[in-house]
Amino acid sequence: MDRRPGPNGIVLLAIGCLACTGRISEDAVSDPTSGTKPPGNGTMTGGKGGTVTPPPMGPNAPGAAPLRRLTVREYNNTLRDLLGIAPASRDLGVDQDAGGFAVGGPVTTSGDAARLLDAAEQLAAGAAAKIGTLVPCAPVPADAAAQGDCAKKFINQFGRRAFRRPLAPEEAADLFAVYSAHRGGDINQPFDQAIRSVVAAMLSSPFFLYRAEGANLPPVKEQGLVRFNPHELASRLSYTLWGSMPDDALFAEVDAGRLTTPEQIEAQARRMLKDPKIADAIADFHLQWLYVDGLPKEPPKDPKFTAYTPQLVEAMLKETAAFANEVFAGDGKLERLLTGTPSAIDPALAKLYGAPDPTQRAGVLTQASFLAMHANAADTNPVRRGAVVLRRLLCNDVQPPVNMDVGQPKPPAPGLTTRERFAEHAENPCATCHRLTDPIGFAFENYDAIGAWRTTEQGKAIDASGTLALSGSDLKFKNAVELARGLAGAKDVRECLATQWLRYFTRRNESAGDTASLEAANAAFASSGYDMRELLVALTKTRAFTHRSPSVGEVLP
Amino acid sequence: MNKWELARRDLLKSLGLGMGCLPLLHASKVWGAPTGPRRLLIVMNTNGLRQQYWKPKEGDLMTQTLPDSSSPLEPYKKDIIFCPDMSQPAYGGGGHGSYVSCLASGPNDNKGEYRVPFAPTIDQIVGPGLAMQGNLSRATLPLGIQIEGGNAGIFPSQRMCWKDRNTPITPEEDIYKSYADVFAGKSNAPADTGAIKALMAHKKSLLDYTGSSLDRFKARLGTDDKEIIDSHLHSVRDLENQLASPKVDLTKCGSDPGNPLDVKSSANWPTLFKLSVDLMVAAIRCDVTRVATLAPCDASGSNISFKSAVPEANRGWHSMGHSPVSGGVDNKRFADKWLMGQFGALIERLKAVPEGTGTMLDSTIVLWANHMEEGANHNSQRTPWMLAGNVNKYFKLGQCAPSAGRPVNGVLYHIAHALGFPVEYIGTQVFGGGWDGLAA
Repeated sequence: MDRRPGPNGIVLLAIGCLACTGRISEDAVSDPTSGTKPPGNGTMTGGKGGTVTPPPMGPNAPGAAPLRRLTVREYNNTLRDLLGIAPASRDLGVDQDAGGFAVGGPVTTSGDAARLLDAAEQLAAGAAAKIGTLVPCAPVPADAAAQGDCAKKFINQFGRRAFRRPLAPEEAADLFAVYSAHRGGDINQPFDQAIRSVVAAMLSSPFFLYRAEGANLPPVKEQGLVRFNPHELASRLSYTLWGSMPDDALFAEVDAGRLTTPEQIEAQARRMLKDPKIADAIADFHLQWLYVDGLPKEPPKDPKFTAYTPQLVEAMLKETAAFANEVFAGDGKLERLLTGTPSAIDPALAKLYGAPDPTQRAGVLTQASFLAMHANAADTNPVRRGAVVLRRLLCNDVQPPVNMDVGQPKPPAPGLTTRERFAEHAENPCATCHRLTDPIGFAFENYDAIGAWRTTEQGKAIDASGTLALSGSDLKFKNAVELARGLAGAKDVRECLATQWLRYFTRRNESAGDTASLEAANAAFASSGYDMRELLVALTKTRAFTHRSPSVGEVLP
Repeated sequence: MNKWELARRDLLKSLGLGMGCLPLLHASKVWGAPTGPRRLLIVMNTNGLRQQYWKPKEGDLMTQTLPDSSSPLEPYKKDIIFCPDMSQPAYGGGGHGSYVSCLASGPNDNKGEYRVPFAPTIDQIVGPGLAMQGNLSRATLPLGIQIEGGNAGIFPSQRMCWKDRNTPITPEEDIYKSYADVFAGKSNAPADTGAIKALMAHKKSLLDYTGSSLDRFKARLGTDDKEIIDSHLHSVRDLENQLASPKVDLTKCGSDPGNPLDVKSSANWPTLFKLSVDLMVAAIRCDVTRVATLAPCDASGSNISFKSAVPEANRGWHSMGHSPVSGGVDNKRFADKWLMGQFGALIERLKAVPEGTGTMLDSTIVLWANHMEEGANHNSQRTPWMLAGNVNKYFKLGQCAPSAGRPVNGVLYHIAHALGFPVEYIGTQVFGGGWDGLAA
């Protein structure tokens, strides 16, 4: 899923005037759609009708953890690990955005409910051949009562994995009622089919579909906050680092009571970072972070780009995903991510790039996925490219203006370069925003709308030079490679990356209560020489990861 | 408490909305019952229309010949209204983003190009109420075609209907599944009674379990999270009701869609478009629902190809929008003309069904919308919409309305009124009221 700023560069060109805001995202705290609630605001109802005292506002009181459904990717990965089968291709709806990263979309219509039910039934049917390996009785006894006992064991064992925590007795009873209903009456299914129906029921349950592993367990209250219990922490680790359910080792740590202390959490995080399943999360984060995960495979580009084929698009996305993983498998350094080159390049992509030249390509920002995604169909779009760098690498959440009609954008003027055409932004009221976006975007003018290198436009030499104001100093650059090198060493970028990973971990925007968590993560990141793996480990130990504020209206026992 | 207060409360309840989420209803003119039940059909297109070949002169349509792209509508001039050049003040600017929010046209999250509306779209404002009037289990029938493959990609660019903020309506993109869901004889249901009973009991068991799980799940949740689960729970209950309701025989309302085509193949898009329109008409004809929507694309239409039906329109919809002319051929103009032909065909289908002393068109409003002026400029501030239908003789048909610069909210306002929902405004109070020239 993709949450990039938009398919048409013309958009910001048209609307980027006057009223935009170059806000750093703290003010997302009060945004009703940001997935973040300010801790301590509002009244919370206690379990006995009393009022829970709001937690104190402070730098170490993270926001609430909004309920979210599994993303399509998480759903598929979980089914892979739970049932060992590839999910049906049935559309489960689209993910939506929370804190700039994907969360599962809401279920709003009977059609949505039907799709989920159909998918659950198809998956359960697909697992039919594995039922014998899933049930804890082999061979299956002939006696109906013994089969019932087997079903009860299955429900608790399989349910523990499907719901990612032990089942409460009443939950097991409800599922056994499903089994019983299918063994008699109008349905009258044999044992294995009834088990399939139980599996379908579990896969339709909110306890499977949503991330709420603590829902049937008493919350652990701690200093006005709620500490995630070990089952929740196991899933927070596994869905963050693997995009899937916990493995047996993680479940075992929980059962043994060894997922509580920061050291225990860190040990698991380090183990998980070495597991091959981390590759999926690394790819997922970087494709989402750079807003390239929706790079269209169909021909949205001008027909003049004959090289732009679905195969090339796939190669572009693979390059970015593989390169990010290569960095993580290597020294893990941010600098390499922003300035390095992949060890291998797809032949079609190599043809687009031409002969390897370190003066032309450096890091993910000069890869074709980024350049093609943030361009128009026929030409480049400095506004869009600049806005993505501002938003995603500098955490400057520049927004388009509100409620204004700026009329039609001017058509491309013959003979002018893109930079010359966009120069008017610096001379009218639009400059308020475009002085932020455009200079960064001009740095990428050496790459056309699909990322191929160019040195001239309209017969004129490309001018990709510019200056970017960073904290404490101005970054002067001649082109995108110099810009990337400057960004790689910039404090603003390093801190923004920590913020982006925090958003990815929590799927919400940060709040003032995350200050201490971010400071701790940044400190660990710095002391490691900006090794991104250490940043991830540090984040798993922060309060933003281990605690949450109570939600408004939440019933706390 | 007067009748409207009651009606509003019921409507809010059925919508699952808080009091602040719906435009105020007030007891204004009460319209008499039309010939048949009031219905609404919406088709939302993208990439605008080539204005010079589409837009008639303002005024009476009967005294002018429609431009080339609009010429397929020549036989239906007295049944339609052109509303060109309307503004979308709630959105501002241009681009594809207005696809997401223009049927609500009110406050939104103002985040980037695609902005999540904070108010329900017109289908969700009138759909539940119309369904209640007919005791129907299906408030709306949301259909879509090849949305998932669209260029826009970013959420919420794939959603044009919203129950509320954070609750987009997901259209069904498999038209054959939609036929099977709505009508009898098009599903894989077993033929013998015992097997049907077993299947129904099986579904009921699973849905009962899901419903009770959702109830248990939400017990301790906070307010916002509980709303998410309530929405899920209502969806499950609606599905239960639909499964429990007897299915209608398709042959009484429409025709068989034929052997299934690949619903993701761009070569099949024109056929899928026609099948979708057929299903919308069949569904309202047999009173399965009274509101049906069709999203034939995402906000960009980049993956949509007209080519198999219109050889001259040989590039993607989005590409043709940006550059209408290629190799001396105005590809986009051909695509626009084909779409006008589909609009005409829809009107013809509705007129072909007698109802009372008139036809089904007399109790139906068709909103044939586009959220953009022209693909070449991506301007959302000269929005071209069209209306057809004569619900209760509400509209002044046969005209190109004086709509230039007027908010699209006004059209939505008049649609709500014509359907019996006298809202004070749509979107926002500032520009959400009606404007002169549309109502008879």
